Amino acid sequence: MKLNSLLLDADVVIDAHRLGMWDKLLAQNRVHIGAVVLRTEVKYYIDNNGRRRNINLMSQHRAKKITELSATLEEQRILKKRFDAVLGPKLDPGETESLVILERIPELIFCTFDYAAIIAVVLLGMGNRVISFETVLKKCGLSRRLQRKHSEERFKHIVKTAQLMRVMGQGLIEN
Amino acid sequence: MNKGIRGSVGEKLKKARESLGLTLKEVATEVGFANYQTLINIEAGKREIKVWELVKLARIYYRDIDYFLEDGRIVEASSVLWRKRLSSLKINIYERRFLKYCENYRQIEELLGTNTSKKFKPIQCKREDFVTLSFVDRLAHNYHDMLGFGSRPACCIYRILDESFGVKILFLSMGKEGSGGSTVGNFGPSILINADDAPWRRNFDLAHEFFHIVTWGIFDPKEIFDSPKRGKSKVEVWADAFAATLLLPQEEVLEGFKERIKNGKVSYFDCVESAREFEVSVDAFLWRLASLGMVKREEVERVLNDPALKKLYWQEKSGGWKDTPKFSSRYVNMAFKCMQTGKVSRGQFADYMEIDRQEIPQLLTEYGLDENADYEIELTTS
Repeated sequence: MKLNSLLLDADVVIDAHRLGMWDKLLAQNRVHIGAVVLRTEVKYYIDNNGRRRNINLMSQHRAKKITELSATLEEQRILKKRFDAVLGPKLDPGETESLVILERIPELIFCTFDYAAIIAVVLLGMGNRVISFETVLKKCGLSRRLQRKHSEERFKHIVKTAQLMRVMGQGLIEN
Repeated sequence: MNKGIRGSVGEKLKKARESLGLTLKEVATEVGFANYQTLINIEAGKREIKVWELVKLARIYYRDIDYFLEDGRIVEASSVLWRKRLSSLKINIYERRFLKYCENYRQIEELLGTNTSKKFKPIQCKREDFVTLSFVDRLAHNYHDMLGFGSRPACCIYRILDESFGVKILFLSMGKEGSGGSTVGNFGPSILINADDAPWRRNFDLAHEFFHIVTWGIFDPKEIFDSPKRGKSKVEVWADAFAATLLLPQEEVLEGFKERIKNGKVSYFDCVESAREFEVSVDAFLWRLASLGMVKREEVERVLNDPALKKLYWQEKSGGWKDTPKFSSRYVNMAFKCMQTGKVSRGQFADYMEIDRQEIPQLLTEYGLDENADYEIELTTS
């Protein structure tokens, strides 16, 4: 049974491949990816021996294993403007597109281990729609210990930091 | 997308492409458009551009995507003063990469609440002060003392200018197509050095460009590039003299050199050794000796044309070449801090470093950093 409708960021796709978990992740979730991530960000991963290994997301997209979603330039621009230029997180276009998509489609859950992206999701009031990489991988059956950047513990710490920022009115212009 | 934004993005895309001297066909091929008509339509605001297409174009043009999305008219970037401006089209790309680095550096500083561009206070001087070399010599002496360069300035000039005085320095691999350059913008003073040059040349270029920074706005650009007789303008000769005095402090040079004199002569090997100690070229070292009255100018010219010296010099030098990292540790550390505290995303960090996000762990290892370490642990100050 498919668990979640997940929206994945670039780092998650890359590291899921590196950890050999991509196929399981695809099998157990309905995977959605933003067009910027799909078409410009994820072309390869670097294995443990330092070798580049190709990732062909487009063929999986054509095989309907993953769903491509996109935002318009105007949506990107409007979303970016909601963040404070200095106190808000500065996101790359792939992350910004993911946030636009997340706001538009309420059933999606965003998986990311990017500090700035997690902060942004919480600031936008979607803290209940972001999930750690560790949680997703564990649901897919991974039992080995992960790097700190992937951990639920770090994820929770970031969410807490973002919630504090939200309470203090930091990070967004529109508060 | 409304037509207004589409039009302004298209206009900015066209200007960005033209400023780099790139053709429609070249860019269309790189992005993967079936034909260049698509790009013509995008630039004319007739076709909606997808975000991922804009991302690809922004990378080709070395621009932040925000540059295309933000409202308002295009503000022209600061101009770069090239030491030798070649006609190669690549120069435009090097210049844009340099300016993007300066803009990124300023952005990172702003995010962390530091502003080094105001740290640097040049010694006040006017055009009329520049009459003879002795003024340039005094100016270099004053900067040497002010910046605390010590007895071997070349060993520390890069770090001191970058870390203590906020001079943004980029080492870019430009092959034989680029030389040094400098600019002063709203991001502060900045210097571009060709990473492919020999280390001693890079040091000298850094000091040479520093002269242009401290005299920014004093000379008319025409005066800098006018080269009447000897192939160099008066200002460029002053910049070289400034660099020599800055990197080769009189007392230290004389003291070391006098020790090596035997019966009124000094071996070629000793000359090369002395130059190596100061991390400058043997040419710069010998010309400095001439300016200090230790050797006649004709003798320097004779020696520098002697193949025996050249052979010895290159043998001595080639073993000690070290690659200078493109970015300073300060720049990388600050960008890393931004990423680790959620001020910028990983993709944005990769963009600052001009790498793919997949290469982040490798780059961090090179700079002794680890994104899995907890950098938020604090100590309490008293």
